[in-house]
Amino acid sequence: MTGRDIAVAVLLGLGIAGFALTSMGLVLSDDVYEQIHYLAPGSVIGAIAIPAAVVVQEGLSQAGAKAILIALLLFFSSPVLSHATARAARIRRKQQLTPRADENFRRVRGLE
Amino acid sequence: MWNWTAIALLICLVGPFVRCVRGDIVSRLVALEGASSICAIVLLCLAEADRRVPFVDLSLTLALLSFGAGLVFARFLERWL
Repeated sequence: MTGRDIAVAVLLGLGIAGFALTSMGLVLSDDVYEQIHYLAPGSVIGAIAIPAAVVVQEGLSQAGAKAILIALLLFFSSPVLSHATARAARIRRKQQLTPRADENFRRVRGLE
Repeated sequence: MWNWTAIALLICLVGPFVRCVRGDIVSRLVALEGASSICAIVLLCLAEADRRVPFVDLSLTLALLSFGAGLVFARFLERWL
């Protein structure tokens, strides 16, 4: 087993761990905002580590370049999707996006 | 090694699947977004396992389309459902 194989195995294990965390978080949390937070480990750690393993294995060949593109796409699309989903969840729950008069955000943030 | 990674990632799809079955409609959208990113990486692993470089395009296409699909679903839930 060469050093390259070990690096690939470590990166693959890291990626699997990220997606496993996402999977467990989706099952164990009941609040939709917590579930949105749990999307991050898969989209950040997993979506970078596994394409990085492809790059280590293949080098900057065609497959490596496409793997980098996939990693960038997943990495940058995840926050946008999370924002859009959280926005939709709030509008569905509160019927409007802006804070209502009876919502005290200072108390929610622990400032009071 | 790549095949085992793909199998492990397929097992990770159980979480989004359970949430799709048991959650409310926004939770199902969140689960769909998680499952899409897992599936894109599974396709990448399978392409790498079989040493078929053109198949990486499938993963790239899924990653691109799931982004648009997630935005459209979120907008749809926000306005009409």
